[in-house]
Amino acid sequence: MTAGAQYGRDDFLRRIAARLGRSRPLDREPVRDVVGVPEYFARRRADRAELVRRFVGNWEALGGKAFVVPTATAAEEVGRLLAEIVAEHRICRAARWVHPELERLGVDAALAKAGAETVLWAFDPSAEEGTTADEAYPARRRLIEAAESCELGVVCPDVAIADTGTIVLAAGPGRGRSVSLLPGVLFAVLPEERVVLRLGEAFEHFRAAYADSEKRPSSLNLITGPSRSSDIENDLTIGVHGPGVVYAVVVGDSAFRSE
Amino acid sequence: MNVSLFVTCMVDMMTPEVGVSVVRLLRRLGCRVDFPQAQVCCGQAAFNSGYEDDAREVARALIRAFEPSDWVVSPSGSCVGMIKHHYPYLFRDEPIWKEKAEHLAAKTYEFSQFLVHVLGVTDLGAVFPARVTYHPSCHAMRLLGVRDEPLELLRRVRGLEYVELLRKEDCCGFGGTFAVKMADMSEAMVCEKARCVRETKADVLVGTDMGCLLNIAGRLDREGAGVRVLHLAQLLEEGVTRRERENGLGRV
Amino acid sequence: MSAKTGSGVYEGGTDLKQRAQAALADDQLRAAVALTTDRLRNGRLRAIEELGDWETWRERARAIRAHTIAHLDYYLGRFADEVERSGGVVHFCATAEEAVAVVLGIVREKSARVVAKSKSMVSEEIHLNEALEREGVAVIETDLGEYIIQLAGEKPSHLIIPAIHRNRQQIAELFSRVSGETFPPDTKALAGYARRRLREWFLKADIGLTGCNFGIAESGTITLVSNEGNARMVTTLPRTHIVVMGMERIVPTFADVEVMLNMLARSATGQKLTVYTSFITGPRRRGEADGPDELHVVVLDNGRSAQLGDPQFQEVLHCIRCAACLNVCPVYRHIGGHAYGSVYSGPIGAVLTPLLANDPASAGELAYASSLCGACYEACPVKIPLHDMLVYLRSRRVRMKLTPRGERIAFRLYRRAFTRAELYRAGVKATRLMLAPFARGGHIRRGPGPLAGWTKSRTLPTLPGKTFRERWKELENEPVEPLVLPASDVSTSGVPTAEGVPSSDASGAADRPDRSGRDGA
Repeated sequence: MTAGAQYGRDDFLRRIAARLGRSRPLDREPVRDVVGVPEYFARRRADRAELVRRFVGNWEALGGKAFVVPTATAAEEVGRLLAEIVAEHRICRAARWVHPELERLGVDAALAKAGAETVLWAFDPSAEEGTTADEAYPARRRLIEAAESCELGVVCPDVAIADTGTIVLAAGPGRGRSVSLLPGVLFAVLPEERVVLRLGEAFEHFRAAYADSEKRPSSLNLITGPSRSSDIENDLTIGVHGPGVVYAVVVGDSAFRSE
Repeated sequence: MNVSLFVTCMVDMMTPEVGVSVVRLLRRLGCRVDFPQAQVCCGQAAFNSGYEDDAREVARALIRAFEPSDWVVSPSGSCVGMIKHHYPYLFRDEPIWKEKAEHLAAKTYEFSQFLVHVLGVTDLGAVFPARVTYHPSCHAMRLLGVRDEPLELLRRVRGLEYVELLRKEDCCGFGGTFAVKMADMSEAMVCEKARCVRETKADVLVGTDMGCLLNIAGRLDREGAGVRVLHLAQLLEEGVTRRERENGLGRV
Repeated sequence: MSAKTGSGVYEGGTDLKQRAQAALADDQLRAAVALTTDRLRNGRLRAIEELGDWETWRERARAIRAHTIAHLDYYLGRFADEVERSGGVVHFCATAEEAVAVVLGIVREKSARVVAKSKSMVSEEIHLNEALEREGVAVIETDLGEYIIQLAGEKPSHLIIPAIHRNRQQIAELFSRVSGETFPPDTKALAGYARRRLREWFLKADIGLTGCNFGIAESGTITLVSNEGNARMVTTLPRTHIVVMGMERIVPTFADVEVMLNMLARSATGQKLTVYTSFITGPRRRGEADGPDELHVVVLDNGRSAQLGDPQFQEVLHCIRCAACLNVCPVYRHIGGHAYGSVYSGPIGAVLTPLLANDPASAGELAYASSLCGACYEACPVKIPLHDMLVYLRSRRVRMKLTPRGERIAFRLYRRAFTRAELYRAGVKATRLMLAPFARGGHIRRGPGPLAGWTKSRTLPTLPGKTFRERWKELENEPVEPLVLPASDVSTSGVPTAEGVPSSDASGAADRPDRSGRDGA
């Protein structure tokens, strides 16, 4: 990790402390009685089938396309969907995360069968050992440009949020931010176990990581539907900078069992 | 029940008939109504313009005038709002007067709130066959929480056809000195309010604050709109009189 | 020129009244502002209804912001420590000049030629773009609305939707002129051009510059919200990321940011969440191929600390920049954002601009651009009493003797007359006489002095022959016949049923709002 630093801290904080009636800045955590969302909101519960249903409903309400596939046939279904997407959106190249679940689903084979090339977001961390940022940049740049040349991005969200229709992507080696950002079409697939009810639960998923400054993800991206803007005369337009077409696939059997 | 009337300088000067309607109704509902002569003004014009010292002295005189009263009732949501919302703040550095201010605030009521919550009356048996729309004053709504009381009273007026005012919660543009200081902005606001009133095709516009009503009435009149503008107390008194006339209970 | 003070006030030599008049005469602007604010306002109402228990949430959000600001020395210190621990660099800047100098320093160190920005009000407040341009750096606004007004050479007219004053036709002409291509006034085509053009800039930019919606103290995390994806672009592709943030944009924990994000999205646009919500903690880690090599966080004071410890104004620092107050303000609705002549417009702008300005006398007229209707307070997700603060600003001007002499004298006379009933009565008689010549048929069509403003667009009734007090004697002696109340309830058609009729609570406390004391924390 690069070295951090602070400049101008002491005078700045001292001035604030003085305005608040303190001779020195407070360095002990103050006591609080109100933290986070109202209790009734945090106490809500939903079973898995309901979570999946709600996530799908919210994702679709925002213009996203959602699918629920049974565990047993997940690879087949995902392959079929990818083939349809490749055909419909004329995908030549797809960028994807390095992720065991994507490998298990046979994403590369499915894409190849449909006639699309896969760009793996593979950046070897060890290749960066002993290099400066300047030295590492050309390889990084090549990968970014490769993703830029793709029409489809394939990712595996860490969590999805039912309340809002959101997928959560933590950045990391092999899990580039660009994959869910640069191509015009986004395809996200995750197991139903990772759908939670509310935003706070999604944060809980990362709580341990955030407590340890060494382990914190550099970026956590919450994506709630396709990119949009109404800046031009209040007229809604989809796909301004981020992907305009977004697919979410939830793998699991709860939704089918409850029918 | 002993009630003191806080008539407000605006009603006193510009629309005394509103005060008359309030007094008549309260007395007929069983209240003994007095009028402390020392009263003048709540001070909001000075306060809202930033003249705290001037407002404080005017407020002090008002507090004194109503010290002996049990209940204080006023036909103005904004004046009552001034007392309840700003008087404790105005006297924040004078503990004795702050307490007096709080006492006054606790016993002062806007007319419709007094009827509904203190007297527990919503149906006066009034008859008023007309198409009526209602403009809620900002201060009554937001400082006093007056939202349903006038509507509860209007609901029970026989023959009254209520039509909801579009954008009713938008300010009419009066704002006291605002109408004079920022005349162009105020004009834009009152024109939109008048347009909404006319769109209801109501015969009558009713409200709880004469500042708002004179403002809107003034614009409607300039537009030649022919809408009658009444304070709630006036409408109710007229409605009661009408019912009694219809029932042959001779009251001139 | 305000670049020196960095107060966010635009120069121009016009005053509020002139700008307001210009805005009121601009029908296109008025229609655009009305359409936009109505849409956002209705969206907000639907979203808060969907959430339910809005007042509970509001009080929660207020409590979180109040606690944070009351302990800002701790939380800001913690935030900075965590940013440092995550590999970021924090630059504390007391003034706009210092902040600009820091950014220029980074630009020079990196030999940067292109800076791509996502929306940052603070960067406008410190006039950063002008400074960068003087340095020879290309500054690209990437928020679609900001991009449009940048090309047009204009300032934003709304906090959230900066270009609402421009229609499709004008934008098409603008893009056509700038690109050399011809564009139809079609949203998709125009947005498509912006997407293509800005994509080139995203990939070319040396530095990405953003604001910060919320800085999370427990982990040193920068929270960024956007709908288009440009904030993600400028924090992913360029090698350096600079955050410019007001020092008050802190929340203690992720649990708290869950509350604030719920409040922000719903209050601003009626969404549950914006399309993109990004949490950035430090620069990219080793082994990550995208993300910046360096993260710099510029924390700005620029007049904010002066509000701390002030019981009247400390709460202005609670603002989360949702613009809900703009969307419900009747004044903003009619005059739009430019009339305020400052980076921050609407009710929050009217309060913040004079407070942040180094010279308390500047921008003071903004405090009068309000009828004090209180809609702003009602809409504010963190319950900032903007309507009260406007009055406090006015009383500050009175104390500093900045109000017109004639007005001071008038209120002194008012005080004398309105504290003594006899003087008041005499005053009314005098006024009646004074206005008599202007009255025709019971109305005053054209009033003298200050009344001229009123009578320009409204009639005024003449003072009646007798005041209420003059009628009291007779009224008092009228015979009283008790009202015979009907036995049963009769409802008429159309009047909405009251929800939850309060019980006869003698004190009326049930309906009193909770603005009781000045306790800030």
